[in-house]
This record gives sequence, structure tokens and C-alpha cells, in this order.
Amino acid sequence: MMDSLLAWRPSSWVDYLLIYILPGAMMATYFLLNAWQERQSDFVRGVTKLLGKETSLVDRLKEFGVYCFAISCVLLGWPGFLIWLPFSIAQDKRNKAWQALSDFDCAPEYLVAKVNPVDAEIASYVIDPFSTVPALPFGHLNKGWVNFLADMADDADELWSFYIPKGGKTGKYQFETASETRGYARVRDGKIMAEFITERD
Amino acid sequence: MTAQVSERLIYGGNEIPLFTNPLSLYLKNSGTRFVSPHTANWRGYVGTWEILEHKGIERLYLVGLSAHKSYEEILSLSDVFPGHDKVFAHWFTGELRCPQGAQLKYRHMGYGSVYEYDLLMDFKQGVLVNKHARHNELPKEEPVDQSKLPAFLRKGS
Repeated sequence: MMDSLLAWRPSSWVDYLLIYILPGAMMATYFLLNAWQERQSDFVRGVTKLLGKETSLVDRLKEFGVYCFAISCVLLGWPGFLIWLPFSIAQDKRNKAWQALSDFDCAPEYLVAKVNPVDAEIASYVIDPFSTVPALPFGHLNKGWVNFLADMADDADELWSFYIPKGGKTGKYQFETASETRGYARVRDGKIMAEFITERD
Repeated sequence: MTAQVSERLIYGGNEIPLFTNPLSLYLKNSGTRFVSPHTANWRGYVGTWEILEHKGIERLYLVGLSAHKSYEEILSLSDVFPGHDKVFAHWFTGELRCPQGAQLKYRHMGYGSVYEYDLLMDFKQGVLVNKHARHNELPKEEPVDQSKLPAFLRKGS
């Protein structure tokens, strides 16, 4: 069977068409598998049904028509999709990498000065006339400070103080802060590895 | 998102609603989380705060707490801060917003409702540094053009 398959040569325009659409068919299969993986969950279908927005037969027929049209486009215009596909995959990878990034308020532009942990502790004791704050570095925030310091295990780690002015843009989503923010950051090679916020709203 | 139950602030002998959550930084730093008992309290707790004056300096203290460890189990201030009957909020720098007067506009989201006045108090490391009142007006809202909305957001769709 393998020999006859290898010996086969296209002889009519239908044969040539079949050869042409073969990569498109593989691509369409890939897209259909992706669409199947991203199908609505049972929960979403249940909620949709509860909201009275259940898919009707007409909707299903329309969806079927859209799929047929899309598959036809891919089968015939697959070279165009072949150019677009690597860009799409690269964009997906970039999106996933961005989602995996740590979300700190502090950014390199807000770093003020490199500090010694002991000096930071000496300056952190809180004065309270009603004695409601433990006599520990950073008072009630001591547990967070201890955890923050415990993670400074790498010799390349540096402790920096930081200050974010009111309205400064912070985090992955670049939200504006509603108040001044101060704290300490663990910095390695200029990159923020962790932060400990000492005052904020 | 449902409108959220407010914190409480005792100031000048009166208990008033507080539309700010000064405890949030402490909870983040200590890794403490509470359980939401219902949709009007996603943060899982309600704190009672008081501004206490000593030698002319007014400071913000947490004086009461009702926090859900689970749906049934409620923790008090002394459970979360053992050995303390009040806690100085030395980590709080920012503005406290206390709504006053009649509700002009209800918003079904967070602390979004608009009241006649807001009493705004600025704190620096838990110490009151400034306060003022803001008079609010009924927010003007442009009519929504239904045709520009996606079908699933249109009324009656």
C-alpha cells in the first residue's frame, strides 16, 4: 500500500486541488481542536440556560454555517494563515509570560536608596501613647517583615527603600495609587524580586 | 458586584460609616484572609475604628472586629491581635472617606454610592494630618445608547 501511495502522481486538476488543500485541512483540524478545547463548560451552559439565553436551533445552524465558511477559507487560503499562525502563537506565549509575572506595586523607578536591614529596623519602631503596638520592628507588620527578610537568601539580593507618590502607576495593570506608598524591596540585578509595604491606604 | 457593607468609625462620640478599609495592608502583610459570609461583604470582616486624641495628636485605632474565619466562626479583635483591646493603625497613610447625609445615588458596586457629603480625613502613618468635607452633587449620567451595546447587555434581549 505504501508503494502504491508513493508511486501515485497527480493526473487531474482534482488531484492537484487535493494536494493543495492538504496543509489547509491539517490547519483547520488544529483550529477545530482549539475551538473544541475552549468550548463552554457545563457550568456556563447551565448558567446560560438559567438566564434564558439557551442556544436555539437557528443559532446552531448559524454557528455551523460560520464554521463551514471558516474551514473553507482555511482550506483555500491556508498560505495566508500560515504567515499569520506563528505571529499568533508568539502573541499567546507573550500573553502567558505576562500573566505569570509577579505583580508588585514597586517598580525600579520608585527605588530610593539601598539600605541595611538593621538600619531599616532601627528606624521602624512605632511610638504609640496607648501602648497598643508591640515593641518590634515595624510594629504590627513585624510578621510580614520577618517573612520578607527570610527570603533574602541570595548574595546578589539588595534591600532598597522605595516611595511611590500619590497617583503613581503601579503593578502590571498600571493602576494609579490613591495614596503615598512606602516600603522596602528586594532587588536583584536591578529587578524587583519582592516587596514589603510599610504604609499605604 | 454588590454594594459592600461599610467599616465603622467612632469620631466625636458618634459612630459613622467608613468607606475605606484601613486594615487591608495589615492583612496583606500578615497573610491573613477571611471568608466572605455573603456578597455584600467580600472582604469577610467589618472593623470598628476610633480616632483617639493624645496631647493634641489624633490617631486611628482599630477598636473592634468581626471577622469570618469560616461562615459560622467569627473572630474578634483579640483573636486576630492577641493581647490587644485596640490597635494603632500605624501602617495607614491615605484618606478615610465617611459618607454623610442623604444617599443621592445608589451604586450596586463596592463603596460607589454617592451621599450628600463626604467627610475626608488624611492620615500619615496613622496620625490625622488634615480633614475636610466635600459636598457632592447628583452625578449626571448620559443616557445609554442601546444600539451601541452588545446584544446581551441590551434591555429586553
